[in-house]
Amino acid sequence: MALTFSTGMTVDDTAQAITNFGGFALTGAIDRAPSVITSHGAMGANCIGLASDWILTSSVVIMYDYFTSHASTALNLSTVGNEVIAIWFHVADPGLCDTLVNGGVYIIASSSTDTGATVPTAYRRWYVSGKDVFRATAKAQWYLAMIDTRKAASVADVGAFSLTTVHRFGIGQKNAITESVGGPPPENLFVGGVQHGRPIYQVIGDGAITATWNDILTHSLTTQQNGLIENHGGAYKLSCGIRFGSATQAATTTFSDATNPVFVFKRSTYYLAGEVDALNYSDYYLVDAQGAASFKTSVTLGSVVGTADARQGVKGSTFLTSDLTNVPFNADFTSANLTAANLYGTRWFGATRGIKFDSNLIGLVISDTFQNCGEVDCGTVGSGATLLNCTLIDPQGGTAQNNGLKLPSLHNIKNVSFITSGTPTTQHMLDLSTSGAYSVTMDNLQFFGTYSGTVLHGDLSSATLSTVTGNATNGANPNATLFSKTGNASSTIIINNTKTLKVTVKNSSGTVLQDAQVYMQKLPTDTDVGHPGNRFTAGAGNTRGNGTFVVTQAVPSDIPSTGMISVQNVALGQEQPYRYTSKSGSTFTFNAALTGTDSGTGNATTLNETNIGTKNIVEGDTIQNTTDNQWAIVLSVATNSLTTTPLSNGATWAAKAYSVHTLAFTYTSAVDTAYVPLLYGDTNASGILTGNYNYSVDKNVLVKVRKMSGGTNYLPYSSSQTITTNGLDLSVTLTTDTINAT
Amino acid sequence: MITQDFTIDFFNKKILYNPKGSGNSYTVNELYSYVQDRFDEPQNMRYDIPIEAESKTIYHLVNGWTIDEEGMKHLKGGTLVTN
Repeated sequence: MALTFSTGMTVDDTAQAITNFGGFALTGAIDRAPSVITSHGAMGANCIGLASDWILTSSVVIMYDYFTSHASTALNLSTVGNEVIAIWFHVADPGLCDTLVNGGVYIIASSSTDTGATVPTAYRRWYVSGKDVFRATAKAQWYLAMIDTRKAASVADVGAFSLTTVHRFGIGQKNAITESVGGPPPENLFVGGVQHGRPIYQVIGDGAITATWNDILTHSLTTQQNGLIENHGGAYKLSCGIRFGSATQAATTTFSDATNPVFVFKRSTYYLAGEVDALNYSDYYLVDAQGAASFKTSVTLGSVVGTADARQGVKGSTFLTSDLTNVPFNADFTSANLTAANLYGTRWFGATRGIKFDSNLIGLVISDTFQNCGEVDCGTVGSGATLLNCTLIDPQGGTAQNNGLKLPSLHNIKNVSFITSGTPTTQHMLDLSTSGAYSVTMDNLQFFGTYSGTVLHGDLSSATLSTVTGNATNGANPNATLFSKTGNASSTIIINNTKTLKVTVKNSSGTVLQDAQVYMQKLPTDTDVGHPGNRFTAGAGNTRGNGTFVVTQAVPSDIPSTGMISVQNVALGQEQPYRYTSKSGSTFTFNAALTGTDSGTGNATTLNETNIGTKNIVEGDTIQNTTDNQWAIVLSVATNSLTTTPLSNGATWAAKAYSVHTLAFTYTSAVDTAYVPLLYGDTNASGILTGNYNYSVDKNVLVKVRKMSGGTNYLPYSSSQTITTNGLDLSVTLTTDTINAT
Repeated sequence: MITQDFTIDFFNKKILYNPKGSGNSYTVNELYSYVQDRFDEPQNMRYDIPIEAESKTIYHLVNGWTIDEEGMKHLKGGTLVTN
């Protein structure tokens, strides 16, 4: 048993004998019939050589006679799988050739019935080279000319050529100058072998041997010398796709390699009103795996170090395009007949037609880099392939949106870095394609670079109305404002990215301080709305007694989901704080309203009621005298009483009804204003106050800590800080104020 | 009481003497201490502190705060340096 290989190409002739070859001149003359040239072969020891006569502009041709060599059966190049012709050729003196535009070297195919030295009467030509475009080759002196015969001819056909009944095909060379040496002219045009088909290199297992890259390289470079893989100093140029296993294999295929090779998909060109691509790359430039139902395929590129989520891939392979604009390729590991698709430490550049996996059972992608690739789709079986510790850079191709990574509602994707350079100018790192209302985890999905305009964190691509809640964790930094909705403009996305804000307060002796007032707000210069430097404006309908407050602006996503909104009655020059328990759209909803009545013993700053301390009332709440429409702010709470700021208008709480968590005024729409601090309150017995922050970008904030009454007094503290992906953990040391006499 | 004789206009950053108050005068330290007390109330945390103490007798109005003429007249026992 042994590995078997298929290239997708039929080697029609290795040019070791003259049997199936003939030569002639389309213009000028040949000096003599083509012959076998020994010790100068491409696919073996020999080749076929042809000399032109000493005539300027001779155009000489070596053709392989497919019809004769196949028992009078014509070749149908239109049949799917037959389309590409590949010919090893060598021009000894390229300087003799004409230029590309003038057909210096051309692939020719004929459908007329002539043979041997007879010039065909129906043929087509594709100009593939010329003295101005001769390229370096990895195989000394030889170059593999390729044309996908679906490509238009470089020049008008001669006669009624038909791709479906090809009799001969070969290579031609047109001279532009006359050779000036004496004696018979030497052979100048050589053919080293002819092939046709669709170039996909396939390694098929025998159920026992583990295949490696070396096996494929040896087959191409040494065994068959087919030119589909070229060794350029350790990097390999591919004129073909790579396929692991076969859908019809009769034994399992196992491929495993951790030698870290580099493969470059080669560009082949020809002339068609300019130098254009000679191949339909999308039909064969790929990396994929196939298996049979009873004999499956396992692919492992690279190896893994570390454990669990700290696993990293190393020594995988590298697949590059040689031309990001013109040479696309794709990868596909979605076959149901795979037992593993382990791609560790593999680098993909220019796979603009996308990369697909399908199952969590077989897809394990660790530490791969996808640069300028089309969409990476991990599939859905078992929530899709695992994608761990990978990097996506500048997604490009595959979709109009240049999507980077499909992120379905259920997935096995985490620890992915998304990096943009700004080019291409349209990028959508995440493709949220699931429809309907759902939540999706964004576990350590981090975005780097500048995102704005059409360079975005993602897109909601489902045409069905979708409401997506992205739950960011472990340092993820998606921003809801950086998602487009190309599928349905009415779709919405909310990003929950909770970070902890923590302030610890101590004195200069290191003793924690309880009941220190902590306050955090955005900087006054911040352009976000809803902070003291850029306040909300009151909407309509904010009527006294309401349990909500409505603003006119959309509420930024980083405004706390619960907290305190402070409303300014501009006409009075006063403000009233209200605690809210939820926010939706532009509406803040307060705690459940509380009502009661002073026992009759209250005064301007004291409200007495049995067990009022058990109610949901805290320091800082606005409290309204609903009997007389006056208000105050709670300063402290005891079991049976409240201390407040002086009741407005110098009134008394005695026997008055009160309400908490309701508006104390009817606020004037578009005049009165409001803001929400990011954190506020007293430190606990451990000297700590914590809160949550919905992170999207690093945010500079102002932090104030004060404890200037009620025991030892301290000097006020204020500083600028930054909330990062780690939140904010600030330790504050207060200095005793020896002058404050309160 | 100083709490009734001096009022604080947070919006306009002004410390004002209440013309309907007791008419009493207070030391600058008493004013400083009263103001500090008011500014650690939760609803006032967003406002900048008006007064800083250089010593027990010398104080400075800071952060753009001002005090009205009547207020200055009703201070004693120290110096309040205004802007």
